[in-house]
Amino acid sequence: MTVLKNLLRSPAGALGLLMLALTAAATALTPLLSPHDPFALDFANAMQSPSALHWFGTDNFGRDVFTRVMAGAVYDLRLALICVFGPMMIGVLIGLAAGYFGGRVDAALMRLTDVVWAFPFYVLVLAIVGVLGPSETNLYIAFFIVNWIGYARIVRGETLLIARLEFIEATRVLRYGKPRVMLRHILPNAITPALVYSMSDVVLTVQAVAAMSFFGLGVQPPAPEWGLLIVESIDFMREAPWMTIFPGLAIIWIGIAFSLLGEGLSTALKPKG
Amino acid sequence: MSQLEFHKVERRFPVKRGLLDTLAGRPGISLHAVRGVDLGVRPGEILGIVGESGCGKSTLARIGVGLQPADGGAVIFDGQPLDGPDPAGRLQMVFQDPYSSLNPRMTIGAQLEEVVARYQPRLSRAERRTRVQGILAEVSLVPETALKFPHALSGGQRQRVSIARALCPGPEILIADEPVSALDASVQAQIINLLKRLNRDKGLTIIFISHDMNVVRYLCDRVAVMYLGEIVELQESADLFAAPAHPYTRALIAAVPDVRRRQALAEPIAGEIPDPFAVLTGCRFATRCPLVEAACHSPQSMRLTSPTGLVRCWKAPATA
Amino acid sequence: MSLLSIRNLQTEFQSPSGIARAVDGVSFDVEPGEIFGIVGESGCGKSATCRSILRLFGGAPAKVAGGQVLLQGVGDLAAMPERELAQVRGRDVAFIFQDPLTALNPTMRIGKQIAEVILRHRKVGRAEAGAAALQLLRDVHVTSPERRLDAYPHELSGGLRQRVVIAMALALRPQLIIADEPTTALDVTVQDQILRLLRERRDSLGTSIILVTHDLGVVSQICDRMAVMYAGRLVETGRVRDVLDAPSHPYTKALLAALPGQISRDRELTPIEGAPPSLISPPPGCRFAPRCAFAQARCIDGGPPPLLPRAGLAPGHLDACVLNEVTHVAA
Repeated sequence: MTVLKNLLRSPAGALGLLMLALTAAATALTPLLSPHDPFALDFANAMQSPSALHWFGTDNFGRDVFTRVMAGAVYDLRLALICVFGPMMIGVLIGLAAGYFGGRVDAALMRLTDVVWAFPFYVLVLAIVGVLGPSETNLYIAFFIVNWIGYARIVRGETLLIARLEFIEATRVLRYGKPRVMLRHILPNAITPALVYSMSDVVLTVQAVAAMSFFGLGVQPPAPEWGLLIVESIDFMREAPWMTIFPGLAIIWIGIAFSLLGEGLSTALKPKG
Repeated sequence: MSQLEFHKVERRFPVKRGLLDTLAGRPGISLHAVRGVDLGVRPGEILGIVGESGCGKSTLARIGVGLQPADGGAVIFDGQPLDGPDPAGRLQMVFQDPYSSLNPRMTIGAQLEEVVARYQPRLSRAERRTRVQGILAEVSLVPETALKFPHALSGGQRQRVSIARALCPGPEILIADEPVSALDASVQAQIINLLKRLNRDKGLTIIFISHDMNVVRYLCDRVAVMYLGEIVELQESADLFAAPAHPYTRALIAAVPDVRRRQALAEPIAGEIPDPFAVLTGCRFATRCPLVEAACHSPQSMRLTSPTGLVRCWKAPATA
Repeated sequence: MSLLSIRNLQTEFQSPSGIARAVDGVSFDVEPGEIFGIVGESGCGKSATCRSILRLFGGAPAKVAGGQVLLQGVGDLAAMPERELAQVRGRDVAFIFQDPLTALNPTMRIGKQIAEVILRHRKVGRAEAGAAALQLLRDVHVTSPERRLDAYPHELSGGLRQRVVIAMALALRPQLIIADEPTTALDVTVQDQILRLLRERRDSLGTSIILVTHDLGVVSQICDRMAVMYAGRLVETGRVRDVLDAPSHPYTKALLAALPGQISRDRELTPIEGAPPSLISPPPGCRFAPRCAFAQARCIDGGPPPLLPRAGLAPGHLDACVLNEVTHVAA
């Protein structure tokens, strides 16, 4: 639709989309591009520097780094998207309700937000995963509990502004039901800053997920999640720097891609006039 | 055709007090935006409500359509006290700002079809489309308008869409809150003509809120002049402009610039709208009135100034 | 000699869809002690024109692309470097904005704000500046001026704020005041007071005023001469009574005909159909032609129609309609 068109018109948006498209393509085409199994151990070929056979070299277990990085893309992107868009949906609905209903509903929801907000983000995530045990599912649970606040605040602010506009007053004269007004009239107008914010949230979440791996509280080996790849490579940074470099570059690449996408989205979503 | 009447309508906005005020035991203050308004709307008329900032005309408009409750008195519509907007959609409203009156992210067609779906649920999709096209034609917009978003339309076109939206439920009374104030003069004329036509051809009763005396003189059959929450004069339009009975009305009319001549050097009224929080007994215009006397400070009531005209001033010429 | 001579002024605004020529070849003069009105509808460029005189674009992506702005005794403001122009602002030419609330600093008492204008340009002590501020408030008929000096802008009504803005504009006795829709945001009774105040100040001080407005009634009330603007160009100029009583350009006529002030209730108003053209890619020739009831083929040929004296018009009354016969009058 028009948003996509506008997105492609801005240089940032177009470049961001291109980078993501390339990532998706590379990930999808990995079986064709590389004959290696990301999990296959091959001690004979361990710690080999990048070559025609192993584009990114091999790690201490002889696994092809290129294949692992590409496979890791699936993990990291899945993690980032679920940990961002799930909480986003929760936060958006909470923000809408708080802004639209006001009064006691708003007060109660904002107190809830304040309580969660009071804890530093990482501390809370670590605590939850620490209690539940490290696994991908528990990581999702932790983020769902913690990551919705920013969206709730943003959408509540937008809702408060929009609810005063005359076209919303018109819906009251026309006696539209509350769900319709909130979802059909307020939400599409309130969600833009939340969408833009979600792009930088993806970048931060990819890094957070990688950080969890540092603590051993994220995805567990032998999953080729990028953070985990970096953690596993620390002992070998002298001998096989490529084990650290390429996953690191991958995190940076995705970060840039989503940042550019966010910038492009911010321009593309502005309603004209 | 249902009658709409305002009976002693009051509306107060309490002002939040700080902790110090509560501790000091100061009584709560509220803004008395509408003070005891009695007004009957004649079916099929165009009734103008004029006044300057703080007179309460916009608040009165919203009470009349059911968007705000009356704190005292009542609005009687079709024999019943009004308790929110009319479920049958017979009372509709058009707003001032063409830029925020429409949902920027929905097409015109979608917004209008939504209204039709709500008030005529039994129509099929195709019938709904046809009805929307019909209404767009009534407000002189081409069918292609339905496919556009608000930002692609000019201010005048957007106001016509707002009127179209108000027409979808088939209303009997349209309350228009400064519908042309945000438009250029050459575009105002289009909307004014449209409202006049709707009134004449469909018998649509229109309550026209405005601060522009020239437009009101042209468009309205009767005019109510408001000052600080009260109606101070209510007359047929021709009578009001030919012989304004209340000193405020006279000052208001005299202040309107006339393209035909330089202003006559009659003295303008001194000062400005006084503090709306001030509690005054008696005539609220007394602080600025050139004819003020002691008797003006006792409560004033409406008197007949002609067979159909009312004025809230004991010094105005009266019949009976 | 004129106080202000604007010659072929051109101002451009950057927009995502291209460059808009908001002011496209505007020329007029303002005499000493005269109130000159520029009238037009939204988007016609009247506000851009008066802002171009002082290059006050408020951070918008705009620039004066050509022409001269000659101020008597000072020079060409359009060519002047910013540092010099900053001195001209306030001292020789003052500006009054439409919204008094945003024109005043909300965190500073108004006495201080007025005094600041004086202190910025004159070497006087604070006490003297304070006394001058008090006198200025009296000149603009602010009631209880001593009390008001200590007030913050939000404590004052719209009319009072606009009086304070006018006081600040007059602080340095400029030769010229530019007022951009100074009464549009005010009630009509307050507007009446403010317009009379401007006229009275002009009578006392001999200050010239350029008054930009969309309201022909306002022009009629206090302006001596006026210009009608459409799509970046002037279409008619002359003394106010000549233009309003005997309009000669079709646009001016159409504007006056659209007003409800004079029409009897049983006749329809005559709006102007259509909309003003884009300033990014304007139509050739006369820009009003697409909406003009009298348009002919030669209206869109050739370049911009010039303002010229026409047959049957009073001296000084010019219009830019190519269909009106030109008179050859000695200038």
